[in-house]
Amino acid sequence: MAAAGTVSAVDDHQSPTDLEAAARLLRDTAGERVRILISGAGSKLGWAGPVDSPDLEISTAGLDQLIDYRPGDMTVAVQAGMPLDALQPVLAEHGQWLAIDPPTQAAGATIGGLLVSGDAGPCRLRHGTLRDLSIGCTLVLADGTIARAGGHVIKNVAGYDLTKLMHGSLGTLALVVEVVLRLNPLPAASRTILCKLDATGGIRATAAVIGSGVEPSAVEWSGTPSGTGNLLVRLDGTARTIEALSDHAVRALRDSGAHNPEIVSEAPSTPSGISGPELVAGQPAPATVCLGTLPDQLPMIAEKIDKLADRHQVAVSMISSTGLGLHTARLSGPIAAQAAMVDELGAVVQHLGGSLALRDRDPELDRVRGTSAPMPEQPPAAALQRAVKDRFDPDHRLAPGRFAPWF
Amino acid sequence: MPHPTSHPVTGTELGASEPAAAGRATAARSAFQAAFPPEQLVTDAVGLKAYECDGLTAFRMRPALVVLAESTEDVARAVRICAEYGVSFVPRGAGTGLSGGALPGPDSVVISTARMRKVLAIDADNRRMTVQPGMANSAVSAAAEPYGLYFAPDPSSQIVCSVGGNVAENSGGAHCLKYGFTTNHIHAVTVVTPMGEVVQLGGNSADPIGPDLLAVFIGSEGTLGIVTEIIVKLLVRPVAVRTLVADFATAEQAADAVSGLVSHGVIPAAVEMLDQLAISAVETATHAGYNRDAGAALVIEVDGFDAAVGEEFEIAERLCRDNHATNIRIAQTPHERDLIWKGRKSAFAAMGRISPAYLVQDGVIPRTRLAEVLTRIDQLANAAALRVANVFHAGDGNLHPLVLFDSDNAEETERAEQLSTAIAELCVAFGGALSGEHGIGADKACSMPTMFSDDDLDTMQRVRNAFNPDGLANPDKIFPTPRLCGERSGKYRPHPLETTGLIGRG
Repeated sequence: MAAAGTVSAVDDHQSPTDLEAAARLLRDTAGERVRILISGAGSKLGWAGPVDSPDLEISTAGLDQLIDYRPGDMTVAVQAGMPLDALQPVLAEHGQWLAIDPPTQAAGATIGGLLVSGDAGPCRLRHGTLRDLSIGCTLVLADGTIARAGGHVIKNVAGYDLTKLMHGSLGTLALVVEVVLRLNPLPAASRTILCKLDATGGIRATAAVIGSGVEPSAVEWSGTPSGTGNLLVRLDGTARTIEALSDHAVRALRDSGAHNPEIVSEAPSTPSGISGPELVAGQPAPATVCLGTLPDQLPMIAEKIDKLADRHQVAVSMISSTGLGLHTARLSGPIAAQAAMVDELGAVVQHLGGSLALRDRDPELDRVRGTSAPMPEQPPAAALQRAVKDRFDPDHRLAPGRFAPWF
Repeated sequence: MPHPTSHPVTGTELGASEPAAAGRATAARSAFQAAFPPEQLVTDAVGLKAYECDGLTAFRMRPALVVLAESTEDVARAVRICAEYGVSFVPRGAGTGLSGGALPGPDSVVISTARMRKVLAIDADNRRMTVQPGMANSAVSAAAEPYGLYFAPDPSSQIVCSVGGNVAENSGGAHCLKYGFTTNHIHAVTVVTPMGEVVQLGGNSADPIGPDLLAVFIGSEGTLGIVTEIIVKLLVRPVAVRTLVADFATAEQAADAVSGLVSHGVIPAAVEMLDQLAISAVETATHAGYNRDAGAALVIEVDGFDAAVGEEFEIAERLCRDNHATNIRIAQTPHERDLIWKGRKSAFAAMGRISPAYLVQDGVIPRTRLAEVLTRIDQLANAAALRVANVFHAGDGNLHPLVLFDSDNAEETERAEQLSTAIAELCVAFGGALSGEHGIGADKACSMPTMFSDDDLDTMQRVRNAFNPDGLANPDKIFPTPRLCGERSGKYRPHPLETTGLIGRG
């Protein structure tokens, strides 16, 4: 989805096509006070704080090659700019996939971008994010230093896990040039089950289906905070086992109080995902926030969101990965109302020990509420994150402003 | 106690204490005595002897003092005293580590979390538990059992090894093939930083803001601080579990069966291999029912939903037969299954029955190259005129070659050390890694340059310096230093893919 409004125009665009060129680019500008924005497909440039007036944009569009695919080992090395959508068909020829199904795949999301943003899809419940699926990387630091970590084997504790350090870094620590990934077998058969439930029922049903031992790939609830929504449960198995799995899951859902669970899809596809906002001309774009809480806090969070939405006259739709406690909410309404709600919600979530991150929004929102992260307290890890940033990028050239006001 | 029974090899003292450091240690000792009651300090020579080494007994160094911490506050107070006096400290859990991660430095203070063994909170609805780091790995699963939940990492030493140690080493175990490593099973840790600050990494949110410091802390081997509270992720107990032991004439045939499994898209919960020497040792020690006549045995376990387990188990059986398994034994009862695992997990300890001493390696190779690497190890062993037993996590290519030798024979001891290092570096040459789960510690620090360039290591050092600017947290671990390695430190060799031009490093 386009959120280019939160990104300032940059004069100098570079698309290095190999590791050395990428390293040279950073090395050659090292002495200068150049502010650098690293971009992939651009599908998440609107996440977190806007980068403060970048002078140079380094795009990984020219680093989009598959480096080494070893089907027998179920590993693949790719350049970071390779779109997920280009990689999956290659893997599918060998009955494998990178077990990640982010909604941004359709927008061309790249492997590097998925790693540094932590962006994932519903199947995160079973397979995790690229934090869990990356086993090695090649980085270029702000001074042009090339560093590798990890390797091509799925089990490896030699040295610090710099690959996972990149997870969530949003281009502030290093340019990721290559990533090595572990793969999974493509599921042979799949079922998606739908139940109509409110948030409380959704949590109960989620616990029941996870507790039943069917190992669901995804469980997602979507709806409005106070209304009845859809709970979708995705199961993956083989042709011989999928019926037994879905029968068992349906029974568990019924026993938890869900009425009429029904199988709605037999395609191994993503059961849900936040689709792009439907923009209406003349009205502000909605703001998307991602909240992380304990899984069973969904009903409480939904209630608080509902009250805030009521007070601020903001319309809210939600999608929640109920097994993980990750909730994406889209707030539509006047900008001032969105702004007030975002900050109040941030305080509420932080009080619960959770987190709130601002994602795509109308650029006007930043002008109204400023560009600081919408959490009133500095997160506990921020001082150490700042210390790591100072060592990796002492002049703070990479993505300044991303984690304002903390670093 | 499945402590390895390897005997001290050289008793090498790593460096001598400098007068200034000794002076600081003496001053620090008074501060510790003022800050802690006597029952929380170990200062006498006899008591300190127990802290000279961990499970890697080849290197020994007596610490200046041991603090037996009982709380996060105790750990923080101890670290602050170390920071104030410029004394290095070494975190220690159960002391079962196999890479010398808890080896004290000269004049360093050992901070033990062994007394911190409490469950602080169980949140079954959210499938998580808050524990202190000294709790034994298997005690975590035992505490979760009433809720039908368990903690997935299961190192072979799980009855004694501590969760804090698991965090420090990013421990794996037999079942990490399907379930991942410690790093995939931790929601948050409370850490005392080397500056003495108490910080939580991770938390209630699955997506904390910013770079993932929790992930980099896990597996940092005590060089970034001391973990004092851990929120572990719990999994629902699988509905069904099935286990088989397949015998093969050769280890290479067993390895081919493993490759077959992987290429059929079957990911069992565990795939373990024992070669003939390992089987012989295990049977002598435990009578677990392994067939002494087999050239190699595979333990394959499938778990999950019952229908799925049935199908995958059939495939596993068929692939074993296709690869010339001579016998397949299926565990018929939970007791039989436990016995199979008891045998497998006591394999290191059992080596004591067939050899006076042994060295354990922990290299990882791409799993399609198992047969090739096993042949090469055999050739290396023959050339060195030494026996090597293999018992390992075949499914993820994590080898544990055990080099058997007589520690009373100095020449043989040296040959064994050389062979052991050659095997670890062979794994790197095959595109693998020096360590899959035991850690680098003091043991393999000098081999790090065979896997990483100076720039790679310097970049890791940037992380270390951010947490540990004064270098007081577990010095001389992971990173090669002249004091530790002398001239032993190897040269960086390019990754095989670089040699073939597939990847470059600029």
